[in-house]
Amino acid sequence: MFWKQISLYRILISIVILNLLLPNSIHANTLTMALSGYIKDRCEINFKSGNIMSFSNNEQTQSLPFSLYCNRPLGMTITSKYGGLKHQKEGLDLIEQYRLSVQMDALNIDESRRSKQLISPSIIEDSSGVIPFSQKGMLKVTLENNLLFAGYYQDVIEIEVYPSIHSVMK
Amino acid sequence: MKKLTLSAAVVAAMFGAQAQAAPGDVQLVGFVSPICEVTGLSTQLIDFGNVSQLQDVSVSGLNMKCNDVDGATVSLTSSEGGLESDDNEDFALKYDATFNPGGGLAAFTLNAPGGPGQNDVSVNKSYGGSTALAAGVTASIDIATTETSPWAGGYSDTLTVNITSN
Repeated sequence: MFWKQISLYRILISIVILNLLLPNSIHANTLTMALSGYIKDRCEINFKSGNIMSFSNNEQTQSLPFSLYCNRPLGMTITSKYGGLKHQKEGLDLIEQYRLSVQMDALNIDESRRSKQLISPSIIEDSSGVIPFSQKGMLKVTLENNLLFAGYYQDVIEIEVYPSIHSVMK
Repeated sequence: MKKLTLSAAVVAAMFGAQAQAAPGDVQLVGFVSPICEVTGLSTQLIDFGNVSQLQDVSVSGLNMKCNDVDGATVSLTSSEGGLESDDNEDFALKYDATFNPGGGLAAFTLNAPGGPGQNDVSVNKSYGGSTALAAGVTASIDIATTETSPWAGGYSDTLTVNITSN
């Protein structure tokens, strides 16, 4: 009787083990995993050799190299504080016009504007859907006339680079 | 559904653009040194010759430049108030000295009164700031005696042209 019970248990254990070992072959199933990643937008411009252009009455043209990084197609907006080189004497409205050009050969960008146009933000160029990553460019400013009157002159050009909305819409 | 997704993408990009904008400022500075000068006088001796007769001399080839934005004041000063006699000290002959700047700037005249007791007789003229004056203009001085003297001897004066920024 005892040995009969042992045999019965053995049979039951074998069935259970068999069930455990072969569930997939009996009921097919799929395991799915969602993988995702995200890289933040980063667009920036750097002037490694300084961000000052200095003019005098015999230096009408100045150039400034810059490096640019953007991991999306980019847009660029340029704004001038005074719309020209402004004489710093108080109460005097003397502004010398200049022509500003931005060149980035790798992106086929060669745009120029008169300083007067830069009083309101001026969109220089978008990269036409191209992601530039690391690029180098040149900013060039040429005075339209010699600085004649004695004193200090100043302007501030703000250059903003940003992920282009246009390229998203494309 | 596709349109909605596209709109969401555009809005996200717009917010992304604002958040990620990286402005780079470039400072443009300029400086021009002040210059205010009258140059080009080739000789410091102007000889009228015989002043028993009326004489006139023109001094040309001068340049005047002042790059002050407010312009400049030019003055003509006669030290003795006329051509002073060596022998009869403090007695001077009258003359007129006219400063003639180019570039459309107005001329002006010093009337040296002559006679006794005159010293440092001066007249000046103010010019507003202009590109012509800042760039430099030619100038000349015409001097004409307006009185003769029967007395022998030498007659002399020092005429000074001075320019000062306004």
